[in-house]
Amino acid sequence: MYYVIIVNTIYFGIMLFSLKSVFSIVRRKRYALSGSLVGSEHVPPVSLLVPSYNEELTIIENVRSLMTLNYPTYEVIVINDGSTDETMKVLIDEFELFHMDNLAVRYSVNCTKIKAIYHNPEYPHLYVIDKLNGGKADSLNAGINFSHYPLISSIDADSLLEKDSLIQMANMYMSNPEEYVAIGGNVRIANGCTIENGTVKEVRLPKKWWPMFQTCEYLKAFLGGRIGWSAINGLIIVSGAFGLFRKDYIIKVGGYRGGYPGEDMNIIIKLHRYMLENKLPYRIAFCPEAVCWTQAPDTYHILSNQRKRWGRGNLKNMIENYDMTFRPKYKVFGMLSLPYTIIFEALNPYFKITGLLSLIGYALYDMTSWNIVGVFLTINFLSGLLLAIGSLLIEEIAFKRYPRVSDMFRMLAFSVLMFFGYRQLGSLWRIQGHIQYFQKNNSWGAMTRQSWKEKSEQVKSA
Amino acid sequence: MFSNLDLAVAFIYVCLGLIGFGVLILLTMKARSIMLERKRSALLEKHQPYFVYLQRHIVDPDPFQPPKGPLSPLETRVIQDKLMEWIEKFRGAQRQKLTALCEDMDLVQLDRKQLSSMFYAKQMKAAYRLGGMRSAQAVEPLIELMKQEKDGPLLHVLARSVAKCAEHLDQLYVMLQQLTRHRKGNYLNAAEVLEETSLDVTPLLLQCMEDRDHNLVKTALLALRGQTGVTLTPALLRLADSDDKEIRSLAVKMLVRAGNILPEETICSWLTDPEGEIRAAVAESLGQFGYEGSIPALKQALTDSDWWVRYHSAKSLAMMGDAGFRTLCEAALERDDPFKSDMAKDRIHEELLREHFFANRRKQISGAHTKQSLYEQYFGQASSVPNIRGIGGDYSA
Amino acid sequence: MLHTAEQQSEFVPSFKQTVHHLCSNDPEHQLGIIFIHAGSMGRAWEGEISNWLKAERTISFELMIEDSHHLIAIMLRRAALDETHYYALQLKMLLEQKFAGQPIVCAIAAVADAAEIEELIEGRLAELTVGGAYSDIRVLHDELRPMDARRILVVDHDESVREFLNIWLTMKGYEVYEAEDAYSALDRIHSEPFDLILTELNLYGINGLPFISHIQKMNLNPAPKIVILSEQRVEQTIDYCYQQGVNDYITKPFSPVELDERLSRCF
Repeated sequence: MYYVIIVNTIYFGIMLFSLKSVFSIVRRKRYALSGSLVGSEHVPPVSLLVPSYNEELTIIENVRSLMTLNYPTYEVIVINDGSTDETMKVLIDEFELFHMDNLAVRYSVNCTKIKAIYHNPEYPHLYVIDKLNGGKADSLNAGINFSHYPLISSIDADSLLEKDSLIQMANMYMSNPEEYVAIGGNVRIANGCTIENGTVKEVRLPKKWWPMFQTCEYLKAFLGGRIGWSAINGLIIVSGAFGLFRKDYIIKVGGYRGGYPGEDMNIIIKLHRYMLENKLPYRIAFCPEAVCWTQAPDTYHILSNQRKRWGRGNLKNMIENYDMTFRPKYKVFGMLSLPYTIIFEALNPYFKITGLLSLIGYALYDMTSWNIVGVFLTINFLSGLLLAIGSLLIEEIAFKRYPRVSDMFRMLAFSVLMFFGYRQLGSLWRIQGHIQYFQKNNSWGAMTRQSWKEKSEQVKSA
Repeated sequence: MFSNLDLAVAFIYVCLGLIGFGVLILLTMKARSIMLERKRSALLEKHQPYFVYLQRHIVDPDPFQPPKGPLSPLETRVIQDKLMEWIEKFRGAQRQKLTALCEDMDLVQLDRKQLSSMFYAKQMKAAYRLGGMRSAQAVEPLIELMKQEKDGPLLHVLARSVAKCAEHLDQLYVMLQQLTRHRKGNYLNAAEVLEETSLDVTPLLLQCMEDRDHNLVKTALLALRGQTGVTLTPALLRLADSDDKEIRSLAVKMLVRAGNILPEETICSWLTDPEGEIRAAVAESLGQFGYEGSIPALKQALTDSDWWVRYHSAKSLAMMGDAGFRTLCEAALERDDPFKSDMAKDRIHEELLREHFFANRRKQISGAHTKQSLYEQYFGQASSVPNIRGIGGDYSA
Repeated sequence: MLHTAEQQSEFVPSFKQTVHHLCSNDPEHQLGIIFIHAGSMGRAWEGEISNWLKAERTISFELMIEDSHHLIAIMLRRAALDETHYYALQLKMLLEQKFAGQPIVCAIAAVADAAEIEELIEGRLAELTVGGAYSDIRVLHDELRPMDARRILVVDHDESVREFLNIWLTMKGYEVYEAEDAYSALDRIHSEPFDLILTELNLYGINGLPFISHIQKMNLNPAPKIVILSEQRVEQTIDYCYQQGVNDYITKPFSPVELDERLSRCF
């Protein structure tokens, strides 16, 4: 019972922090970004790392889109992680890449050996690394080893960046280059949007149910949650789909950890630990105006696999780092973020089940208090809904990405529907993920992709 | 805990109320933003002939006439936004002509008043717009506000606006002082903000380089990028001995790049600096300046322990014409240090590839050897064939 | 409409006479001329216009109306083209307010002597009335394009830049075409010849650097000149572009005058 009270207090607290900082975000978005930044020599160069495994359908479109960002100096490094399909071949054909020996690659963080580098001087900022399969973290490490610039940004091969998103992040970074060690981007669901020339032309909500639920979920997590966590410097994860990092610190903490999913959370925890243990001033921030569009899984099977994977990675990270909890040395992160994540996210499903069971148990002993169960569930439902509305408000104040009124009604409706089925499924998947962890099942699970092109054609014909 | 049932029920009502309220706000906001957007585009269309007039006569000598008739506040804002957009795009006389129009329309006056508003958001908006209009009338109030303001986004917007509007270098100096006052490490931003000004900042930068404040020195050094001139040499040489690693690296970079003929021992001493970053900076800049006398030093630097130094040395050597490329080939053939020869080989490969691609497009300096032919002198004809392995077919889109 | 030759012959000579007279009276200054196509409303409009101009004390003007009342000519003394344009703007707004729904087509010119007006309106007055359903202010000077005008393709994602360049370069005697992104630009270049391509590097579709490469690889004959007008000020990028063989590199913010000079230096 107290559990519910605490969890809701934290939620509301974070939401309030989010709401408080949303106005400064609006201002930053409107006034702080100068157009001249896009061509300035003073903007630090960035290496974009794009790990890709079996992405032959989407990779060309994505790389093209990544090469047209509004940014003065950057390079795109695609890491082919031993794909078993034609990923490498389509890249070579499309960009007429040449094989380079590159004998002199550093190995500053561990990764499996790089087989070869491909490059074409006509695309001076594109490199493709071919290596043996070693997982996503390993690919990122390979990219770090090869990269030429002081900042790195990891991007999923199934995501599209908005043209301005990188410069938005850099703008944030430049306002305090000594303290920012990592900046996360805002991930949005692209299902339903019209995509042309590698950019999102028209923003629409997804038509299918699964992606629609995820849209609401992401909106709530990113806008309602992460803005607030970022305001108190307690961010525990920077989405693997789009984040900007200082390379020197990533190397200092030993790069990404392979073997388990959840490497994006892991690297942030390691950064927190490193900076706090060495008593360095630092900030890990969320930059909601830097938007990355991603394709959400639209079938039950793929979605459940993804969530199980997340549950597994989350549990692994928590088990590895529980020593940081409630130690004043680790400040907000150790006192609040980590305990919150362990108790209210990792263990959330168990509490929910036991809470519900005990409640029903009480009610069975004393038939009169069925209404208590009702009251209790209503509170749970309403407070959740309130949070959803809060995040919709933030979206409306700051971003206004969905132009139509009907979009808003749909989002409201799905925020309500989420409580009947979808969230319970979420808990179930998490538990399954935990079971997998203890069974040492460590596969990545199925993740099929559709080509962006087909996607937009489908939308057009629909 | 069930005794709190009343409390719980009350909580439900509060939640319900808040939800209703939130939905209401959401709806009104949506409706308002849609209305505003419609009005805006209608106004833009209404004033399109006026905008054409402005664009068509932007180089004519006479000043622009302001739009006739009473304008609603929204109308004024729409026109102002458009004017600000153009001010950002043009330079020189055209920009001034637009600024003068803003002054004639009393837009500057309007935003100066807003600058002293109680609301942070309004202040920020006004500061941004004043910068966007680049009117010299706005500098003083902006600087005044900067002096009072704490560190925060407003300060940065103010700084940028001052940079855009400033007429005199001392105004910029005050701006830099205010901007770097709060925090170390603001220099990157400061240097970038300085790019906005339309004044020649070199004298100001010289002054900053003498400053005791390391932040200002770094700002000046960063902002100097791209400017070369021997007049700076004495000041830079002094900074090249600075204790601050970053200042040293920036100063050295500038010195090498500016085209000073430096004694060989100076370059060698920099190339043995304990900081790898500085050695790399020297190696990089030597290539940009392209002084052939530094080739032996660069070849030596190919054996450096730091990857970046080796990388930039090889790159610089490749930029130094025939002699540089010959040196690379020699280094690639020598067997004393695998790191050296690997790096040299990589670079040679990349250069050949580049030449292969762009040879027919670049104007060849007659008499110069192609890198290919030089390469063949060292490695023999046969070995060059497998080197450029074309993949992919004919591409004539 | 100017239906018959007689109508025209009565109006035009008297008009030319007036212009001639005004020009020779004031040889130091330009004479601004506004033509308004009035359709059937000629008389009513004429009254409005004359009242408004009278109220505006700073300007001295002559007003003429063609016999069938379709065409009004207003001559403004000592008005350069920009001033004439401004007054045309005001008149057009005035008429639009009073007579809502009517398309109003104005044509403006500023001349220093009578010979110039001959050249400008030779056969063009008839064209003016053809405009039909859209209202517009046309600058007669800009429509005098030499037959061998250079064809320029402007590639930029920013609409306002394209709009300005279109106005400015047309005025400078080029034939201007626009493309919004790299793909549509490549399509156009493929299908029609251009003398010059003025492009931003920051494009949608393909990055600017490979975009240049693609154009060069088309092996067009004659190869179009390539000039970059970009926000990018990074030295490395500029060097790279010159290495690739672009003709010029201009950074934004730019000066239109300088742009024009550098473009004409390409030929």
